[in-house]
Amino acid sequence: MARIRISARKALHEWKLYLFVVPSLLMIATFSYFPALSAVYHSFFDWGGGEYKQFLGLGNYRRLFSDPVLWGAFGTIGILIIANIFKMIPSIAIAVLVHRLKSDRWQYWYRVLLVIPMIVPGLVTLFIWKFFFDPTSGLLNAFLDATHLKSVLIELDREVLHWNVFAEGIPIPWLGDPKLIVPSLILWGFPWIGAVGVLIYLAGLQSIGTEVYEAAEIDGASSLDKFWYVELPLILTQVRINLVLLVIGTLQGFGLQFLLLGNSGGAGQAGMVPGLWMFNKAFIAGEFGYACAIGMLLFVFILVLTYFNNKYVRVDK
Amino acid sequence: MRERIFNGIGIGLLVLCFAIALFRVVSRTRREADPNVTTIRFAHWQLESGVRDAIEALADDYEAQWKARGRNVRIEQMPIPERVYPNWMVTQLVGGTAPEVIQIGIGINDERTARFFSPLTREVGEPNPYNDGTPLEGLPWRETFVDGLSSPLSYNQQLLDYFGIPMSMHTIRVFYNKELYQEIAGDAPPPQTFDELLDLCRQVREFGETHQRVVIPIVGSQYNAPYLMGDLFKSQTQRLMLAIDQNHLLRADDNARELGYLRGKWNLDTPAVRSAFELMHEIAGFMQPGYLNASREDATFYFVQRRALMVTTGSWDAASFHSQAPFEIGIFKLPLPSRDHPRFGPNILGPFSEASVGTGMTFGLNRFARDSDLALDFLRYLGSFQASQKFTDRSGWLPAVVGVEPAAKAQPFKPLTDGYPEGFSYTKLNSETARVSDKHMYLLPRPDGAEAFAAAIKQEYPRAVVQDIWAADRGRLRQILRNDTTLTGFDALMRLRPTDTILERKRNELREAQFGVELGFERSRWTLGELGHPYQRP
Amino acid sequence: MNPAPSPAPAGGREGSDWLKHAIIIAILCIELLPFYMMLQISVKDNTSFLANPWLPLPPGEWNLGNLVSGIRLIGPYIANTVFVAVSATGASLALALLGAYFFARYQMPFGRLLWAVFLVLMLMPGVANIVPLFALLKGMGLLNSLNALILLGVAGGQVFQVFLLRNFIEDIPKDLFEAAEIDGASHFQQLRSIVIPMSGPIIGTLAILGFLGAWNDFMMPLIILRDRELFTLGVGLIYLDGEYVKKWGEIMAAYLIASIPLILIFLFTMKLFIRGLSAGAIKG
Repeated sequence: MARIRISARKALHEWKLYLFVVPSLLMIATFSYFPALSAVYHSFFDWGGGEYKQFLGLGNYRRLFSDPVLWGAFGTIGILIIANIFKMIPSIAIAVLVHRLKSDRWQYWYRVLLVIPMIVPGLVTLFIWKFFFDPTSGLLNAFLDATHLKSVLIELDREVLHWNVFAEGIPIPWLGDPKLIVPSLILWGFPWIGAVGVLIYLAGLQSIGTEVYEAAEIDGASSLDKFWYVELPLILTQVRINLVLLVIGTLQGFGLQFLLLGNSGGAGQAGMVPGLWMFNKAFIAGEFGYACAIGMLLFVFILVLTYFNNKYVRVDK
Repeated sequence: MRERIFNGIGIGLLVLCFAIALFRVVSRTRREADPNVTTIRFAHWQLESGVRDAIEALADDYEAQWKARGRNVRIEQMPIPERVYPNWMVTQLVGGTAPEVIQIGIGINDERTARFFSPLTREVGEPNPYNDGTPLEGLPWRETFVDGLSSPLSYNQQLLDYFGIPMSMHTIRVFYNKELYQEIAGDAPPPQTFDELLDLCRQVREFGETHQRVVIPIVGSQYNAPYLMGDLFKSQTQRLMLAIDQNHLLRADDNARELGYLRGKWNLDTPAVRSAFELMHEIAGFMQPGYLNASREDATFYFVQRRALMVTTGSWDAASFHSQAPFEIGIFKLPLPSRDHPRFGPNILGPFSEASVGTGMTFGLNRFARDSDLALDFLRYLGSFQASQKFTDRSGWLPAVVGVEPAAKAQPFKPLTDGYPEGFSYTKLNSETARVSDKHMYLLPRPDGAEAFAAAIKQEYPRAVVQDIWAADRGRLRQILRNDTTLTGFDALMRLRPTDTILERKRNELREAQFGVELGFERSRWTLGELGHPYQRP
Repeated sequence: MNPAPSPAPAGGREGSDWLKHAIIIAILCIELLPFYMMLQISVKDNTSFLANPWLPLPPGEWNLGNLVSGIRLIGPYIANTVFVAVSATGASLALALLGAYFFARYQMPFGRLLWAVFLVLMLMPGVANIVPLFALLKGMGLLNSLNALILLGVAGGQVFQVFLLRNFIEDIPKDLFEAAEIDGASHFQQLRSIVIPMSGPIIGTLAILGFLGAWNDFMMPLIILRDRELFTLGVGLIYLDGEYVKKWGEIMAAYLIASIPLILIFLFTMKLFIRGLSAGAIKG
């Protein structure tokens, strides 16, 4: 259904309609656009958050490029982004599995069960996982001991990794050892199923008609083929959207690291991510100007990523 | 239809909750705007057991005193977790919403102190009215504290002003599980000498084996290991310290120690140092494997769950232990080897004196506080004899005011002032040498631990010392530059206000301090050059 | 346009299902593990927890005092959060409906420009805004107030909500609107009588997502709020985690209570939510 075109002259009659959009515009102008412009402006200053600021020109930006912590943080975030992309797979897999069930009642009940984890506030899940990671009373270590998986890890450490973190009799310090922090961040949230994502994929899958499946059967397609050629292409749009949101979200996210590891990214700063460094610089070191510069850098990164995404990964309307 | 009802109930519940919440918010706003009540807020991070209750008691007492004088005052305590404190400080101070009285220490630096806190120099020179009727009446406020307010948190040496009023003091002790001790060692008294301590540890080991239980003699953590290991090392370097102490300060400051190392006055093979590593190795052998990765809470957990006999920590943890442990807790000071110990004795002068233990739990006054008079008055109250007495009785922490008798619970922590100066350590906080040491510390518990540890850190230690000196020099240089600017400012101000004696005093103090820093800087540079380590940018 | 997903059986369903069931159930069990842990620890005290961390306690030994302490610990925070979440979501949806109506029904002059203004915001990362937002709120005198959180919630939700609502409104048949206009209804009345009833599911879903967002938010409240009485759930939980002496039973009970409002919401609106999500997914 197309919108009705209104010429400029009639618009003067219908001017009241503009009022409909003014409040919304006002909100985003004040709380989204103004801060963004302010961030750009202040990134050129040495600013302590108050009235006093000193013009630095490109000083903050020059400092950005020689800041080892920041580039280490980008390295960490790169690893996390790749890990998160892999972590999308379980959601898709579960959606396909549930979709392929014969019984509708079971499908409905599984959907409900999938939504239940959303009931627990995000922070609570995070703290419970932090509790899991605890070396002495945490469940992860207890589980590894009970199933003797720990011996596997010790062997792995000795032969392949040479990290010196897994040893007999010592509780594994998941969040306490620099080398284990990134694995912990990746492991967090196992089995990596996002309820909203799965529901969206399921909805997309439901639009596939029976004829397509029958045709595939006639052609002798296996289960995997059906997934690859029938199901995946139809939910590809949603997958792409999720992918973009995921990458952008991970790139700027730091809440997880802040809550699990503390202000400076934990032991050896191994969990430092750019967002956390920006938070640290602003709200702990009090260097608001430099923090704005870091924010600008992140913005540029995201802009570049989005541009590439739009160019090579077209999202159909 | 059922869905409709369902939805209806849901929305009804939501509306109800919203109404309750709205009511609360509105009533709170109304309460806040009450002009009759003056509110003083104060913030701290001491979430340990007993402290918050003690402070509540003090707040109640203060409010009652003002009520008797006819004024409605409310004291609001704001306990904030340590982890959140640094960014809380920044957001509150910069945002202008900071409480009137704020604990300083975490997240504080000179710039923030100068910008946001009121100097109290004049006030500490005057007597504290709240001390009237006590033996401290009439004394300048400064002198009523056990350290004369000389601790770094109270007197800022860069800014040359007093900023903080302390409320407590801390010492380090060994805590042990009396019940478990009874099981293992029977009625024998707690170890008085170092050898007795080692014997006890061995007994614990045997006990664990015979009873098939895991019992750790001394539980370590990344939090308490530096204290323990540091003290052990320092005991062996007491005599060595005197040799290095060129300026006869009766302590080896970091600079003297580092330069002494480069000059060859001591190194990692010096018998005293090797002996120190041996000492550390002895004790490390009795801590749990992986102790370096254990957190403060982990160690507490082991101790409270009867899986460890002893734990070393400060008096601040006493109340937390008492509240969590179902058993009785005993306390003693770590017995270092005595002078006539056959193996470790020759290097020792004697037990450490705790006379120079500084104060803690220091509070500053927010410069931009609305009711600064009342806030200052509250601070005076907190730093008075009566409040200190109440505080120690309620919380079991040591008092910071002279003449206050610590509560019974706090008696074991009273500083033992008889003793000798400590030796020097081989690292300092947050330095390259500390990093090198931490990296290889896991070698200590091994059978050949001391040898292995020394050999391992020998590679990187010399270079780490040099880097530490460079870092310290960089800090000194920055300070010299800062002070130069301030001195110029003072000179300019003096021309405008030639009769301002306070200004003159400050300028002269700063000049002296500047000379001291410049001297240290030049000496360091010169020595480094002589020894073949000219300054390089990292 | 039927916004509900058709319950007709889709293809690909031959073969035995038990393997799929097994896998799904296994994964669901792990996924629900935090929820289970929270439930069973919340009725234990520290000693019984340490004696038996994995298995639930028989009902006779439940320590219900934990729940009472839990309420005492975070009850006020929940009230504050309900206030902020409901206000922000309500106001946000109201503004978004108005805005979406503007964009969906007519192509006004400058309309494309204004739409671009909205779209660009979808790309902008919010992370760079935290610092200047803090300074802005300080300038407006809104620090340490719940109103600031409500305003931020409203502004934050606009882009996404306007986007989705516009798509939805576009699909409402023109005839309905024309009929209303002939009857002399003003824009506002058209909005009220046509748009809102027809967009029920999507509005419901957006409301739930908005509420969820406000419930889970902790970063801005942590920075902005000072007084304990104003704390929202996020900040309250962080402070709870910062205690030295952790009574796990009470803490888990507090977590459980923190989840109750969400449980209630999902209980009552489950079908709506799933329907709305599916509809939105097909549209998006």
